[in-house]
Amino acid sequence: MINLIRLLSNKQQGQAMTEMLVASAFVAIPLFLIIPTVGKYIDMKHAAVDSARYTAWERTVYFNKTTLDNQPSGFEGFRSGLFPVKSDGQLAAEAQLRIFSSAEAPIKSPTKVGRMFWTYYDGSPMYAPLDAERPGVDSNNNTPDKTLGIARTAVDLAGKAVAFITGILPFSSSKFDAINMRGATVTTMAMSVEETPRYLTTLGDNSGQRTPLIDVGSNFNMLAKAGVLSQTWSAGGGKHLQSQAQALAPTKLIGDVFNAFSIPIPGAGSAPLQDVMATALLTPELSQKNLVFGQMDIDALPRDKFAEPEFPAADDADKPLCNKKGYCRE
Amino acid sequence: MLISTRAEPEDCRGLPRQSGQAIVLILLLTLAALVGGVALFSTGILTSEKIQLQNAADASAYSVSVIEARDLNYTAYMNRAMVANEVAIGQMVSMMSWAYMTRSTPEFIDDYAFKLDIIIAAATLGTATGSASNAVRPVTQPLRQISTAVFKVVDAFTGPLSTGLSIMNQMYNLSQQGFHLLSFIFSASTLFDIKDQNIKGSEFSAFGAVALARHFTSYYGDLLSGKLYGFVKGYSPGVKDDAAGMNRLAQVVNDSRDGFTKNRECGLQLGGGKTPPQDLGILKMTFYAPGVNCRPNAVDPDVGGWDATFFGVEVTIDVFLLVADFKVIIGVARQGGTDLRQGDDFNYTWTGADTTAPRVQLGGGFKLCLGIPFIGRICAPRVGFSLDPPLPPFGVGAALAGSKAPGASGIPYDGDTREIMYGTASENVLAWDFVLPPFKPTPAAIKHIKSVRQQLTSKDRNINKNYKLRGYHDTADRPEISTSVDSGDWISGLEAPYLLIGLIKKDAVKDSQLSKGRFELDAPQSGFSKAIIGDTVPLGVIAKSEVYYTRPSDLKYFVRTNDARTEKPNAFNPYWQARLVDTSYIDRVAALAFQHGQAPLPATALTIIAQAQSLFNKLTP
Repeated sequence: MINLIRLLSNKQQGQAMTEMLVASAFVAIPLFLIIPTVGKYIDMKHAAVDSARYTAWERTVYFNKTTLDNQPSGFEGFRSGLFPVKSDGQLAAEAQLRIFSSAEAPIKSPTKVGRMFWTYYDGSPMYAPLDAERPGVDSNNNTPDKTLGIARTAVDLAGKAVAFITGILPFSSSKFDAINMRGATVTTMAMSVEETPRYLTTLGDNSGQRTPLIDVGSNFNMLAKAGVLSQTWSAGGGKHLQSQAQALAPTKLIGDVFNAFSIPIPGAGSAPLQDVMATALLTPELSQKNLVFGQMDIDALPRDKFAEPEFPAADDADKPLCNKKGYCRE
Repeated sequence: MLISTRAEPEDCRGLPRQSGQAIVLILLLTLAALVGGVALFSTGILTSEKIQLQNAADASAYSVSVIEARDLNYTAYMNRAMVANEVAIGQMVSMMSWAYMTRSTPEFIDDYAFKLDIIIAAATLGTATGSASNAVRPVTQPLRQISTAVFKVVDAFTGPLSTGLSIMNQMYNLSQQGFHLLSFIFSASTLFDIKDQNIKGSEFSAFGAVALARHFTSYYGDLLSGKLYGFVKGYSPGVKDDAAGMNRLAQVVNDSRDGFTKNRECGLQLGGGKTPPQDLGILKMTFYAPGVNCRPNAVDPDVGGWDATFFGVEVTIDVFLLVADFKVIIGVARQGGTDLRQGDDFNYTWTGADTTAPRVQLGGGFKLCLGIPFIGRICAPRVGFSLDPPLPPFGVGAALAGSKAPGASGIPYDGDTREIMYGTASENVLAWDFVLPPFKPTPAAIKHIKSVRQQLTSKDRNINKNYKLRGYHDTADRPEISTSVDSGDWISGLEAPYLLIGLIKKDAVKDSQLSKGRFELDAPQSGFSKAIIGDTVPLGVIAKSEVYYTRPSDLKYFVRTNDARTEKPNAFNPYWQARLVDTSYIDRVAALAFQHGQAPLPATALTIIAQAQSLFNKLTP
């Protein structure tokens, strides 16, 4: 009896191995290969989303040539070349280098795009893009408008008309061109994913169609998009504000005309036309320094708009206190 | 690995161990791997969707704040332009006032000469042969021609220009209102378009809709009635409730005036000044050189206006026991100024006044001294006098722009406490209030010689009867989070300048809703939350942004020119920007409760509350 059992048992010795082989070949190994691959696909998807956001949001800080031209003119920072500028291509390249490259790769001059993590089980890359495959950045789109563009067009035309009128006047030193209805940045990213490796061929048989482990096709892309609006029409300081807003004060033009002419004074060089007229009329208060056409005090504000009170506390309210502008406490 | 294909050793009964068990372990392993794989895939999709949803919420919030920053910056450009135009109207009034004063000067001189002739004729019983009128005619005749020509030029453009500037300001104010309204359209458009540009299929949650409604009612609160807090506030002229707001604008306009408009400040020093003291033994003399001395100067410490000095000398005699001094300055004082004044009916009027008058300053005094050996000279306090008598002017002008002449009553002559000053012209009593002497004036005198008070109430001095200080927009200070319910701000933290976006995506977690047991997502707990969001929990995010004012003092472009005071957010300078900000604890708890249906309190706390409520119900009859 014992011999019979041993005989039967010996027959079962190969069953475990067979089960193991079959299960490994068709279940376990494919699962162990598929699960990491799926994880890597998800990581690539996240990278695509990151790159779209990165390129769109960088435009809220950096200008390109077009968006820089959209800014209100007259800011000396534009001329000094210190303004933050990145081209669309530069942004896209940065996204590629910062997000699609390995963490240890140098940002400025990486030798290879693609993370080490993004490799299939056979070591082949999951992401091997061409140079042209970068996030698409479109930086100068219109401000959204659900009125079929009517409202936007009206504002845009009004802004352009004012800019044209204030810009063409002879002798004018200022121009109001702050209104610009562009500034929306839209970015898209399509990461082309390499095909998965195929099963090894059966030894000696190269005739059949080889089947990939995960059939994602040859046109598998990780898609992402982003959009954001920027450009607030703000001024870069007092002089910039003056150069914009004074264009809306027509009397500034009178001052510009006066400033355009100077009268030669024998033995004393020359004097502005306005000062010569003031002297001739014996009215020094009409001099260029005092009668300022287009006068604008950019520091003047309602008194409640200062963090600190201009005058001391009311404990000495009976004493007259006047500021430099000649106004006294009530 | 637990599985072995190697033949196992026999046990004590000679039977092999674990043979044929591989399939069971493989199945268990496969099941675990499948569960892991599905979890990986599901969480991967969820995180990807959530990241994109968060991006959409961030971008929407930021973009709407950009629209609002544009609105506020546009408002600021317009406000500055309106203030500049207002100052320009003040300049027109100032020039007209100055022109009236200049035009009156030859008439004053002729009139004084005419009266002098009458006095001389009366004193000499008609025997005098000379005539003061004839004597001054070579001066007044060309002066009249020049001043008339200047007057006509000034009169020709000040009225139309001030009218045009006032209409232009009305248009600027209307454009502020128009763009403010359009900003709402752009904001609403941006909300949806930018959201869709980041992710498809998302929508605003009910909580997000409430937050948006609160934001928009506060940002566009000026377009609504009620006592809710409004971040942007429009002020209109002639409205009682807006009187304080219009006063603020008038104050900014008055503070922005140039030197000419404010107090006829003089910018050209023509000769004048003092000569160095000449020491002639017991006599020391200092002369005032002829010329124009801009104030403040040695003659007058006030700011604004100027003094033309013809002659002046200071003499000091020191004879040891007596030190006496004497001063005489003869010249002309020029004073004036233009102010934007508030009338009783909450409307405003530009009024300007100019005076020119001869000025004779006399002064003198002495002090007694005593020589004491070893100590030196000791002097008693100086006893002296100073005279600066008001003299009849020979040039008075005034002009105004406004629907109602404010008059000149109530303007104090005391130079210490006044708010409305006209430079220092109101100190010149004779020019301000004089009447023509009781001699028959010349016809020209009747027309041109009038006191400031008479001119300020005269319609023919009004260069623009339709002038009005136009309305404007400004921002309010941001509300405190602890604003009380009584103030009407019943939802705090969601108001402008803050903007909270609540976005959900319903289909993102549909499959996950099928999960049970430990994999089951938290379902809405309370009936209230269930009623708001339904039975399933959507994927949800919140984002917050604000439109903020920044004038960085460490950047040279932004530094204030006259002082280093800190500005509060305002719509007079276009320094508004947008940024994302942290959500507050309240925001997150509110979103958890109303967007995700999760009670903000732990179950134990809810149980305690329920028990307390039950106890309360039992105790209550």
